[in-house]
Order: sequence, then structure tokens, then C-alpha cells
Amino acid sequence: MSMTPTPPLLSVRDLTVAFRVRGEDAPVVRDLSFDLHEGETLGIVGESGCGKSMTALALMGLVPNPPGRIASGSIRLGDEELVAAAEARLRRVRGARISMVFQEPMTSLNPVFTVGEQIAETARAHLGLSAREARDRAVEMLRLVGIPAPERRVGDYPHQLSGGMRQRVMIAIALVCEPQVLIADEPTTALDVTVQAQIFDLFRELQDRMNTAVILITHDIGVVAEMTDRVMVMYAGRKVEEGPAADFVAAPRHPYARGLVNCVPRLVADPPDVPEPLFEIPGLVPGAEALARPGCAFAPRCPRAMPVCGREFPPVTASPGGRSVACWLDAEGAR
Amino acid sequence: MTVPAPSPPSASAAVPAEAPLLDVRGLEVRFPVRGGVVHAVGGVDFAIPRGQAFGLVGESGSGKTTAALACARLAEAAAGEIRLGGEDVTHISGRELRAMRRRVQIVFQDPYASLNPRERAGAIVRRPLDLMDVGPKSGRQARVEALFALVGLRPEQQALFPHQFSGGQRQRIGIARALASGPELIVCDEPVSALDVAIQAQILNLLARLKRDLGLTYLFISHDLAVVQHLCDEIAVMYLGRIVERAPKRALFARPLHPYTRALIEAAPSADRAVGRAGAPRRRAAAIQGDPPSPLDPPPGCAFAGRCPHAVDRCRTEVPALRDMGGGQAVACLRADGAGGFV
Amino acid sequence: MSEPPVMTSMPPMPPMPVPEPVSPARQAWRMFRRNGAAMIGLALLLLVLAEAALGPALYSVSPDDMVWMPLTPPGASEYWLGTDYVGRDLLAGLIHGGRVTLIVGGSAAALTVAIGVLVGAFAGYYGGRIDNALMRVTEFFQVLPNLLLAMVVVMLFGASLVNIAIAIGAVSWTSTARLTRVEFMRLREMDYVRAERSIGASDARLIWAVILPNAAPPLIVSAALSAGTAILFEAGLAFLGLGDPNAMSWGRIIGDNRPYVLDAWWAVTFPGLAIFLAVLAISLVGDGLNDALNPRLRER
Ligand SMILES: Nc1ncnc2c1ncn2[C@@H]1O[C@H](COP(=O)(O)OP(=O)(O)OP(=O)(O)O)[C@@H](O)[C@H]1O
Ligand SMILES: Nc1ncnc2c1ncn2[C@@H]1O[C@H](COP(=O)(O)OP(=O)(O)OP(=O)(O)O)[C@@H](O)[C@H]1O
Ligand SMILES: [Mg+2]
Ligand SMILES: [Mg+2]
Repeated sequence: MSMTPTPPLLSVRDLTVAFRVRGEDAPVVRDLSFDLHEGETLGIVGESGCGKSMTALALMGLVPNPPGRIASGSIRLGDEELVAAAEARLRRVRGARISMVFQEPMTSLNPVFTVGEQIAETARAHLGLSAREARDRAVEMLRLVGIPAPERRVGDYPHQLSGGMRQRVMIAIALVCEPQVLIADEPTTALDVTVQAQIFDLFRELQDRMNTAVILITHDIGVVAEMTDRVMVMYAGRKVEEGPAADFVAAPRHPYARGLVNCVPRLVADPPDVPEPLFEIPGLVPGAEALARPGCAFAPRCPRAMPVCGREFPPVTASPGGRSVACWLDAEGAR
Repeated sequence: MTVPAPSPPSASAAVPAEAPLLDVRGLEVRFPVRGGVVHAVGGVDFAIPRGQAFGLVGESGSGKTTAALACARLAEAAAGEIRLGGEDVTHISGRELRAMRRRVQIVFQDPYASLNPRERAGAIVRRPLDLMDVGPKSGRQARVEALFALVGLRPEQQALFPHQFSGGQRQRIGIARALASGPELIVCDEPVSALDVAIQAQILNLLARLKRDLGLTYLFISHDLAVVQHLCDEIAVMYLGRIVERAPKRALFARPLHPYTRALIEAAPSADRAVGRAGAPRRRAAAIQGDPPSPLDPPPGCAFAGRCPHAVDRCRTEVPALRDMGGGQAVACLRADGAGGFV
Repeated sequence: MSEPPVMTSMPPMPPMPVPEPVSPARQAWRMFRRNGAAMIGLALLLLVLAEAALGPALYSVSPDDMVWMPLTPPGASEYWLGTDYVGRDLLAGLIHGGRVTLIVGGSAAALTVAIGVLVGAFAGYYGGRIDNALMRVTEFFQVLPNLLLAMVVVMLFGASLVNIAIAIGAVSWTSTARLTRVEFMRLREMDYVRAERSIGASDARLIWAVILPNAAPPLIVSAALSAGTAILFEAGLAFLGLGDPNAMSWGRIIGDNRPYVLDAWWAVTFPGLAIFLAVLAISLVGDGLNDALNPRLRER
């Protein structure tokens, strides 16, 4: 990914999403800023509950409200501001210019409609196609996502398809309007690795063809390395590190990111007979009620925490090559 | 810390030391379902030497769990033989079965579904001691405490209910329960797949430590090759109810013989492989296409033939047997030549 | 790898304080307490129960004696709620009748649950042939017209309180049985049940000590609802003249006074209101329990 000076396609600034938990506002996404360029793939990684899905939902304008809401910040798609845009306006953007593929392919398809109807419905709503055209478009999309015999399959109900095929249908629905941004929230966790590989190949192929920008949410560092251009690590609702995927995976900087990269066993050609202990990140992700506390949320689990970490959230230290990290260790080093 | 050592097996005393702890031959398990019979496990053979970890990998629905449940006598074997320490346990019942249960325990996949939500953690870990009458009553409380310490939980946590623990902690409770009776064999059914990556490492380290310290034997199921490679000594790859390849860990990764094994290794996303990449095509195209066939309606011949790049007509009619290829490696492929090529 | 992992084992973490144990029942109660309607229902229910338990001792007028002129309206005499068509004190009838109504309703509900759980538990746990046989029986009872069957039972065996409770229980257990069966089928495949099996638990232990407590939430809700239904059922039978002639119940007051509805609205309105309040209280509590015992709602 070359650092072209073209303006970003999607630009998020100081986004904060708050949930009301037992009468208190819990910022599940906090002061998040990032850019996404055309044709680029951005990975978002982090443990469960770090706010990855909530970020995605915020971009889609789908934060469940109540109890959640976008408390502050801005999301610009092209030159349109999406935060505080009217619902009618958002509906036109959603599905047409930004669309999303969810984790569970079974529960996100409607069991009582055929997959063809579901694809066609989206096409009609956004592209104003006639029923006939929409149906043809559905067949075309199914072919595009690699479903064999699409003319026959359009009439199938979701339960008649395998998990991998359902996920392909979800992708077809997401892509039917040729969106500029595609958000994939753990699109393959429910699938087998061989099928996962197929889905990722499909992503890449479609991206090459349509120049779609992709946000890929995952917890698998291997997927990050193979699929993304840039990575953003989230912890407790904040971005703690960002950088080009290859550099990041080779040398993560934030102690949390380092833990994430090193705690998974790696597939190697010549494994040792006795397993080496894996790197452990002690402790747990903080619950929603701890999110509003001052300081770095990782400090209680951090092997190198200092007194200042508990008091104040570290400033973001940027370094050449488009890397940045929010950690006092780097902030001190920079001084 | 009083570590609960495995109870010395009385039955295996007479058996030569080399006999595997678990020996499974021709195991078949079927489930009647509407519209037919699912051959969940269609004839598998493997043996696990004492003190080793044996990995079972394969995709969803390939019969890993079912095979493991049969080994623990929690699913009925329709055919075949299961020997524990040389003793045939396939059809035992009553007192013998109870004695066998002390020796084989399970750690389940989903830490949210494997603990009774209405029992306190301490009671959950103690239950096997009471039900299987392990040790004198007076010593059981102390043993529960030792088990808690062993898996890294604190004794005060005994009074809590499962919902008050995190996923990783729950899995520790599940492990403590499995260890309570001092078993020799522990069946681990995807013990980390439901856990967050950071927590996975904690549990994998715990399992590795327990194996070493207590001399445990594992039948370890996972769909994650890296996890299996990390923990296991020998690995079997399952596809649609059968073992398609079985090999010592090093051999399997150095020289995978079955096309499906290769596809699995190829498909596993790897940070290392990707880091060395240079520019454009970030990955080779997925090695295999298509979906696994339905176990309700298995194809004749090799179940993998429909997705196999090397399949020939013979593969679609003839079911390949597991052939020994030397070095402890066995493969069920008509075309594998044993050197990594295809005849 | 440019930098090695910082460390490979857990650094000593400051031990986090261990929280108080919170049992699922306590959790449910916390949830229930926050539900206004359910708490009102509970208060109302306790009031009705207290009335049934203590009322007859505190208000000594007999419900069977003629105490005043028949069909005296409320407020026209020392008998506040007036009298019925034979001059019996309506208030005394309500107070004594409440006890009978609740006892009949409660025991009919208990019987409903007992039969339903027994049948459902065996069918769901064992499955296969046992399930088939038990489900045939259940279907048979289900297709019989309930009220008619209860009437036949009462007419054949006599209209005693015991027979009435049995008649109601005998016709209304089928839905509990189905519910229990489904719950048992779901729970018997849970890993914690498997784990119990793997440590040699007996079928009896699995059914009664492991699965049943976990199947309890929907069953408790359904028990509450069947108590409400049983009360209405009893009232219906009494209204049709099939109540126990020796025991005053709310339904019987209405049934007895039915011909005089136009002259004495109070004689049917007050017992009707009592039935309504009791059933309302029970269903509010049932609704509250449904929410409180639903683990998905409890998360938040
Ligand atoms: N409806 C809700 N009410 C209150 N808090 C919520 C709600 N939904 C989500 N949260 C909280 O928001 C935070 C972020 O959740 P999110 O789903 O974005 O996590 P995630 O990073 O996607 O995790 P995962 O990897 O498990 O999908 C969590 O702490 C979660 O508890
Ligand atoms: N109780 C059952 N009744 C009917 N079919 C069953 C039952 N249990 C499992 N099966 C079927 O048997 C096959 C093997 O299932 P099993 O759970 O052993 O697979 P697995 O390899 O463990 O898969 P996963 O990775 O999804 O856990 C599947 O097709 C499954 O649908
Ligand atoms: Mg998520
Ligand atoms: Mg399984």
C-alpha cells in the first residue's frame, strides 16, 4: 500500500460509543480515529469485548439504541458526515455505499426467504431495479461469489446451503450494490479452515475487481498477516497500536499487541518434541464498568506498567512508516 | 501442594509396558436420524502410548467428538473395539464401567455449557470424588483445594457459581473436575476453541504442564492445526468419519501425504508465511474447492475425492484403507506414494 | 521476530478480591425485584394468600348461615358487601371461599405439574420407545375436551374438593409434559450432563438432581400459569353447579347467584373481582418470573 496523498475514503475522528450500564455511561469505543483508503484492507484485532464489533456497527449507523449511542466524534464517508445524519439518509448509505458481513452466517440470513429473494431485495431497495432485473442481478451475484449452478441456487432457502455457501450469500448481499466500504466482522470464525481460505480468496478477488475498501475484524494474527494491509489493535475500546500489517506482525510495539502476537502457537515446519510454554497475557479484559477509569486500561495486566500508566492515558507516538502506538514506554523513549 | 497423582492402574499391571494406554480398532459410531443413519465415525484405528498426547484434527462434522465420546464410553460403539490398558472396555457395564470412568475423564469444548449453572465451583470439582468414591471422605475437601491450586484457582473461589467466572476460569474448573478422580487418560474436546486467544495460551500452558507433571495421556481434539502441533506427539487427520492420515507430529508437517492434510496445512493462516511475502499476490489460491460432503449421504469411494486435485476414477469407487508408510506414518489414499507424491 | 517475548509466564498479579457468591436463584430475585408489575403482582398475591390463611379466623361469620335478608345490597346492613339470594353474608363467603378456591387451584396446579413433569421427564430423558408411548398418551389427553372431561370425572366420582382438584389436574397436565419433555431433550445433550455421566451418575441423579433443577425456570412459570388456569377452571365447574356443595368457593358463589344477576349485581361482581385479582396477581408474578429466570434478559 503506497502512502498516496489522496484523501481517505472513510475518515473516523474521535469516535466515542457509549453504553448505559447500570446507570453509568460506559465508553465501549473511545476517541477512535483512523482512515481507510480506496482498495485498502484494514484489520482490526483485539480480544473479545474490545469494541471491534461496536466500531463496525457505529460505521453502519447500527449501534443498538438504547442502551448504546454514538456519544461524540465524526465519521466521514467521502464528503458526507454520517454521525448525526438522518436515519433516512443513513438507510440510503447503508447497504449501498457501506455494507457489512456478520460473523454468524446462519442467523444473519432470514430463514423464510430464498437467498435469491434476499439478494434481490437489497438490489431493489438501493438500485431501484425491477423485480426481473433484481432477480437476474441475484443470479449474477451468486455466480460472482462462486456458488455453482447459481440459476438453481437462487431458489434455495438458507438452511439448504452449507455454512460456507451461506457466508458467500452474505457476501453477495453485501456486495450487490458495489459498496465503497465492506466491513467483515469475523466472517470466517464459524467456518472450517479450508472453507475460510476459499472465502478469503473470494474477498481478494472481488476487492481487486471492484477496488472496495475492506475492514476485516478478526482475532487471528495469521489472518491479519495474510489478508490486511494495515492493522489497528484495539484494547478496551481504544486504539493502542496501528501500522502496516507486515511490520506489525514482525515486531509489535505495544505490550498488549506483543502479547496478542506471541500468545498463539505458530504452525512451524519443524516443531519441537516438548512444547515451549506459550507467552501468556495474564488477567482479563476489563468489564464495561471499568472502561471509564483514567489511565491505560491495559496497565493492570501489563508486565511493564509504571505508575503513570494508572493515571493517564498515554499520548499517541507516531513513527516513520505509518506506525503509531499509544504507550508510555514509547512516549518516554521519544522524549 | 498435594498433587493428585493418577491412581495406579490395577488392570494394566499385567500388561507389558509397551502396550498403549488406549487402543482403538475399527471403531464405528452411528446415529439414527430422520431420513437415515449418520455414520458419524466409520471405522477408525489409533493407539495412544501412555504419557503421550494424541491429536485429532479435521473439519466440523468429521466425527472427532463422536469418536472421543465413544472412547470415554459416552457414545455407543456400533462396531470395533476400545481397549484401555490392554483391557477391552467396549461393552463393560456396572461396576467395571464405573471403575473405567475413574481412569478416563473429559474436558469439554464450551466452558459455558460444561458446568452445571446451579452448582458451586467447589461442589462441581468435588462431585466426582463423591460419586466415584475416591479416597476417604475426610480427605476430599483437602483434595478439592489441592485441585483448585493445581489449575490456578484460589480456594476462596470454591463458593462461587459458574456464571461468576470468566471463560478461562471456567475451563480451569472443568480441568480440575476431570483431574479429580486421578485419571490416566484425559479426552480434551477442543478445550480452547471457545476461548479468547490470550486465554487460550494460559489453558494450553496449563494442559502442557499437567501432562508433564502428572504423566497424563491426552486424546486431544482440535480443528486448529497449530494448537495440535504445539501440544501433541502424534496426530490423526479425520475426514467424514475416517482417519485419512496418521503420523508422528514431525513427519506429518515435514511430509504430509494425504491431499486433505496438505490442504489443511496450506489453508491455515500463518503469520510467518505471510510476513515474508513480497508485494502482490498475497496468497496462493485456496488449495481445494468445494464443500465437505454430507455425512448423511456419503459418496462412494474416497470421501475427499470430490474436492481432491489428484482424484482419479478409481478414487470415486474404492474406499482407500489406511496404509502404513513407515516411520509411524499411515495414509488412506490410493494415490499417495509415501514420499509426498502421487502415483 | 525482532524482539523476544517479554516474559513467558504469569507475573504475580495482585489477587483480585473474590466476589460474593451469587446463586442463580438470587440473581433471579434481583431481576424480579426490579420489575414493578411483578412486584405489584407479588404483593397482591401475598395479600390474597394472607386473606385465605388468616381471614376465616379473623372474620367469624359463617358463610353458610343465613344472617340477614336475602339480596341486601352492599352498605345497607352491618354486612358490608350485602347478602346473597338466601341471605348469606357475601363477605364471609368471599373470605372462606378464597381459601377453598386457592386450595383447589393450588393442589390442581401441583397435580398438573407433578404428572406433567413425571411424564415429560421420562419421555425427554429416555427418548425412543418410552418417549413414543408417553407422547401417545399425552396426545390422547390433549385432544379430549378439557371441561367436558372434568365434568364427567366430577359427575362420576362426586363433587368433592379432592375429586375436583384431581379432575382439573388430570385434564391439564399435557402442556407441562410437553414443555418438560422439550427441556429434558435439550438439557440431556448439555456437556455438564455428559460430564456427570462421565463420573458415573445414575439415571435417577441425572433426571432429578441435574436436569430437573436446570429445567425448572420454564416449569415454574408454567406452574404459576396453571395455578391461574386451575382457579378459573374450578370457578367454571362451580358455576356450572359442579362445585363441592359442602365448601364455599368463589366460583360457587357466582354459580349460586347466577339466576339473580339482574337483581343483585354485587353477589356475582365481588367474587368475580376476587377471581380476577387472584389470577391477575398470579400471572403478573408468572410474567415476572419468566423475565427473571430468562438468562438472556438477565445479562443486562
Ligand atoms: N447491548 C449492550 N449493552 C451494554 N454493553 C454492551 C452491549 N453490547 C455490547 N456491549 C459491550 O460493548 C463492549 C464492546 O463489545 P463488542 O461487541 O464491540 O466487542 P468485540 O470486540 O466485537 O468482541 P468479540 O470479539 O467478542 O466480538 C463490550 O464490553 C460489551 O460488553
Ligand atoms: N446425537 C447425534 N445425533 C445425530 N447425529 C449426530 C449426533 N451427534 C453427532 N452427529 C453427527 O455426527 C457427525 C459427527 O459429529 P461430531 O460432533 O463428532 O463432529 P466433530 O468432528 O466433533 O465436529 P465439530 O468440529 O463441529 O465439533 C456430524 O455429522 C453430526 O451431525
Ligand atoms: Mg464482535
Ligand atoms: Mg466436536
